[in-house]
Amino acid sequence: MNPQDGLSPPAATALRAALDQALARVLPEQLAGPTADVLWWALLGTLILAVIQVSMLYATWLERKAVGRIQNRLGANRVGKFGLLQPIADMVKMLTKEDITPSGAHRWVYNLAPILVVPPAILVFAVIPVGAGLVATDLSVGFLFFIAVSSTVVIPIVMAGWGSRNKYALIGAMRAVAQIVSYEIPQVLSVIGVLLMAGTLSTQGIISSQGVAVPPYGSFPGVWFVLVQPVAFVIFMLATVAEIERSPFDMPEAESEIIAGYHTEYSGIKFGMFYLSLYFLTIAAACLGTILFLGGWQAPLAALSFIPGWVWFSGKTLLLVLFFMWLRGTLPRLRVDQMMGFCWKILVPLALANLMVAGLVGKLAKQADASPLFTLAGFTLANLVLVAVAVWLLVAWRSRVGGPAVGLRPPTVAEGAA
Amino acid sequence: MIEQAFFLVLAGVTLGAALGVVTARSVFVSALWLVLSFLGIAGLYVLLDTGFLAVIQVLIYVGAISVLILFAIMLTRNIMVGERATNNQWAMGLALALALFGTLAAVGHQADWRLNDAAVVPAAGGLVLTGDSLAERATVPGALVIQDEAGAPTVAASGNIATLGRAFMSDYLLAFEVAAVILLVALLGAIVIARE
Repeated sequence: MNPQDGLSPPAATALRAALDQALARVLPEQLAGPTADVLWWALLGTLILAVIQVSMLYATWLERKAVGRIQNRLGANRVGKFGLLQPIADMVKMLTKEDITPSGAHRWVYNLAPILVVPPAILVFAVIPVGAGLVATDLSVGFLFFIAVSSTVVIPIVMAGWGSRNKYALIGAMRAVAQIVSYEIPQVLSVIGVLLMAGTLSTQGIISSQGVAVPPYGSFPGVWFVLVQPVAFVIFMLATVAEIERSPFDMPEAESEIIAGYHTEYSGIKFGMFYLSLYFLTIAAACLGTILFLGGWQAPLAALSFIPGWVWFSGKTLLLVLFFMWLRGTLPRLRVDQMMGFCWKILVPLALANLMVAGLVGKLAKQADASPLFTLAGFTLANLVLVAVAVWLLVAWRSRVGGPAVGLRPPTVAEGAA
Repeated sequence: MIEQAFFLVLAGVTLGAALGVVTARSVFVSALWLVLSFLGIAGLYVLLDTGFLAVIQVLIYVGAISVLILFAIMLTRNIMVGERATNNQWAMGLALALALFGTLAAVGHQADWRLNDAAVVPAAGGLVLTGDSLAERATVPGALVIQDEAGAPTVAASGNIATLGRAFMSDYLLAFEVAAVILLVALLGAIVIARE
């Protein structure tokens, strides 16, 4: 909410004006401005924190309900109506559990890890716009900020794995690092095609370029990028599920193999912090998908734009969160060798090819000065060709090696199986 | 005033963490101090109004290089026991570090650091900071003041990324391509070593 941008909701602008006036009366002139700024940012920060924490609490409730339904169970239904108070009860349970530090642990690293794992997951919400003007700060490098800050979550995870002095924790941390570092590549590569068309890295700019062009942004009018670049959307969603370590990519904490991965030794609220961070990142990833591919806070039809932007944004985000839960309830976990093979042998080449196709078609459409409808048709055709070629290559590969591609089957002894 | 205070805090964090890197007994803890030092430098970039560099610093140095360093330590060292963090090449290392510090200090001493005069940093095609427009710059978060073809200062709405990209693809094309080739060679070298 930048009251200066002229886009903020009237209530925010009025509140800021009232704050300015009240402070101008009490404080001398040169102090009033900065104090108002600090208070305003504190207010915004509190608001964001409150909203994402409540969302996180009820995301856990929704996950238990949704996965329960998928698996033909009822899910949480004992505490409160429909189990709605269950997350509160869980929180109390976590806070009252015994806090254990293993005697062999590196005390500082072990205790700092759960503290440091949460701030990056909260910081990314600074660049997420939930409506016209409803963004904490519209950075010109917003998307890069999101990727950079969320990638630092790896470091506390390594600290947890190493500081615990536990071999399962260490294996979990190694898996997490390998997975997050690898899947970041297809994730960013798939988005570059979108950024090429949007012509900006600002999150508001990306949203505006998918709808009615709002100055100062606006280049490709009218269509959500999920329709223009469906292949990029699929790659982005798959890589994102791996980035946030959700099933079927939850090898770092695979309970049937390595107990609980890097948070094996953590109990009580310290474990709660890892849990919190992963849920924050899940919500943030859904927000990012909404911004990049689903038109952000914009209504799908101009006729529906009387419904406020934040309703659209929350609805689309909720849809993507439910998609993540659907994956978790449906698919079995990948093996570690499949995880790396899938990333480097399928997602990365496909993302590179998609980037080239997006650049080529976008450039041709721009040169020919094509109408949006014609451009959309060109992109649809190009994406179909891309998928067809990819499938053909995979099938040809499979028939040549006489089985699933390397990395999608257990390694043979000659390839270094233990 | 406030900027000064922020600078002092960030410089303190950067240098203190750097001291931690060389004094920590465990290599792993050294690497963690290095992460903090990198973050301090990112903060300094933010203070210099170069948001893009700050974000790239976090993305590359904190999110990628440090993580790979930590990963390499976990793969190669017997990490469950404490280990001596020095070896018998420390004298050579000290000499190299001093030489590097001397070079950087000499360059830093000779460089033109004025920021409030007109037309400082006359670097890549149009990447010119102008003192007159520093107030103007504040209106667009993260944007760098650049000059248009006629030389009049304008505010780039999309920040300095466009300017930087244009500079890479025109004036600094050779350096850009050489860096890309070096990275490719490193990649191939890693594959060759891993296959042996």
